Amino acid sequence: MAVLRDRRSVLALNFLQHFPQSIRESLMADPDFRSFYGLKEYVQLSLGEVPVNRSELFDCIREALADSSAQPTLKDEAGHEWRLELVEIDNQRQVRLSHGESRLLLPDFPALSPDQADRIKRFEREADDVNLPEETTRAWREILTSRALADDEMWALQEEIKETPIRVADAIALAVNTGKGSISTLIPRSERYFERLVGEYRHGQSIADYLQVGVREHIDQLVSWRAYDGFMLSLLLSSHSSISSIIATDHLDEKELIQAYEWLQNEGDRISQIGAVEIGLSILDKRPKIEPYLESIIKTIRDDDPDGQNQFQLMSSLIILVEGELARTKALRGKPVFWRRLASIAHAALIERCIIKSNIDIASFTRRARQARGPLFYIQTIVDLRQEPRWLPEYVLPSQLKAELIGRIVSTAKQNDTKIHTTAMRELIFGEGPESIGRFLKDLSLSLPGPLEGGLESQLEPPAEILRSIEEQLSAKVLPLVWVALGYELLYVVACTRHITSNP
Amino acid sequence: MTLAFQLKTHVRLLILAPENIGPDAEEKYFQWVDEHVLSRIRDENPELYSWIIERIKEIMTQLAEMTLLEELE
Repeated sequence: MAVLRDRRSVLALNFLQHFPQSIRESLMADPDFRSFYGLKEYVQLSLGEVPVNRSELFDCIREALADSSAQPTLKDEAGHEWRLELVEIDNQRQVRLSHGESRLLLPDFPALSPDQADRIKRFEREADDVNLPEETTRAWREILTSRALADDEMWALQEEIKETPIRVADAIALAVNTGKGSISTLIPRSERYFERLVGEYRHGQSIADYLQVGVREHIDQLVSWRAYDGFMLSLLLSSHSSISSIIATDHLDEKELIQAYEWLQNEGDRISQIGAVEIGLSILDKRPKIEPYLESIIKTIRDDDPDGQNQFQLMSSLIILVEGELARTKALRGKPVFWRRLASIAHAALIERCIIKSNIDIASFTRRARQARGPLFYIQTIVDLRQEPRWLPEYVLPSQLKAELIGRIVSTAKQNDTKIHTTAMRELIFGEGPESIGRFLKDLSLSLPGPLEGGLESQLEPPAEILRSIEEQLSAKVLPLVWVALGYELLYVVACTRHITSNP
Repeated sequence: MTLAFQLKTHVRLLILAPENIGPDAEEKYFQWVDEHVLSRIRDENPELYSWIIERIKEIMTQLAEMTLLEELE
C-alpha cells in the first residue's frame, strides 16, 4: 500500500506540472487533495523579496519559541541560508532572519509557541486590539488552550485578524502612504470584514428592523469594547440619520468628546462629520463645549465646493469605487441593497479618513477611481432599481451628496430647535443671510432620497411651489410636454453617466 | 447549450497548454492564462473557479487510477 501511495504522489506531482501556477496552488492548499495523494503542503511566502517555504519557516519559529537560545537555519528558494533567532526590540519579541549583511524582522507568531500561557496571553491581547467578535475569539481560545496551531490554522488565524476594520484601516493607510496599493488592497473581498464593519445582517430583516435592531447591537458592542475608538468606528455608519440618532455619547467624558470632535473637524470623513453634527445638535444643551467644533464642521460642509477638487468629490469617487468593486467581485451578493450600500459607504468613509491624512493627489485619485469602477457602479445601481427604485446613479454626484448632508443638518436642527441657543449657530442654520446654510433650502435636491432610502417612502415633502407646479403640469394632460420631459431625462442620464465615469 | 456551459468549456480548454510547444512556451502560456483568465475568474466568479478546481481533481483521479492499473497489468 505504501508503494502505491508513493506512486500516486509521484503521478500527482507530475500532473500538477501541466497546469498554471494558480491551479497548482489552489489544489495544494486543499488538505483533502494533499491527504489523498500523500503530498506535503507547499506554500511559498515572500518575506520582502525573499521567497521561503511557509512550512519550513514555521518549523524554525517553533524551534526558536521552544528554546530561545536556538538559532535554526532556514533555506530560501534560491538556496541561501538564513539564521533565525528571537530578539527583543522595544520590549517586543520578534523573529530576526540574518543572511550576511541582510536582516529581516518578522512577528514572532506566538500561536506556534509550546507555552500555553504565552499563546493565550498574546492572543487575548491581539483579539482585544482588533475587537475580534466574541464567538470567534472563544473558538480560537479553545484551540490555543489545548495546543499550538498547525500551519494552516496559523494562516487562518492571521486572516481572521486581518479581516477586521482596525487591520484593514492599517493596510489601507500603508497602501495609500507608500503608493503601492491596488484596488483589492483598498477594498477587501471578505463578507466577514464588512459584517464586522457595519454589523451582521440577519436574513429577512427589513431596513427598519436592521436600523433599529442590527445596527443598535453593533454600536453597543463597539462602545462596550472601547468608548472612544468604538464611537469613532460607529460614526462610519452615519449614512442614514436614524443611525446617528442611536450613537450615544454618555460613555465619553468631556475631554474625550472634545478630542473626538476636534479630530473630526480636522481629519474627519464627511460621513462621520454629518453623524457628529446630528449627534452634536441633539446634545448641545448638555454638552455646550462642542459648539465651536460643530460650527466649524458645518461651515466646512457649507464651503466645500462640489465642483472643485474637494472632499465631496473624494467621497463621491470612493463610493463609486467601492460599489463598483463590490459589483465586480460580488463579495456581498445575496445581501439586500440597503445593507450593501451601508457597508460600502462606511468603507468608503474609512478610506477617506486614510486619504485625508496622506499627501495623495486627490484630483488624480478621484479621476482614476471613476474611470476604474464608474461603469460597474452605474450598472449595479441601475440593477438595484428593481428593489430600491428611488436612489438613482446620479445621486452619487458630489453636488447631491452635499445637498443630502445639508438637508440632514437642517432637519436635525429643526428637531432640536430648543437646544440651539447661540445667535451664531442659529444664524448659521436657520438664517437667510449669505453665510447661512438656509440659503440652500429652496433647492429641490434637498428633498431627494439618501442612498439607504431607495426602498423607502419619501421622508420629506418637496417644496410646496415645486410640488404645485408638477401637479399642475400633470393635470394639464399636455402629452407633447411629457415627451419633452422624457427626452430631457434621457439626455440627463447620458450626461450623468459620462460624469460618473469621466473626469470630475 | 447554455452560456454557462460554453464558458466552462472554453475555460477548460484554456487551462491546458497546447501540446508539444516546449517548456519555455508552456511556462509563458501559463503565466498569460494566470494573469488574464484565472485571476479574473477567481475574483469575479468564485463558483466557476471552484468548479474548475473540482473538475481538475476528478480528471487527475481518473488519470492516476488508469495509470496505476496499466502499471499493475
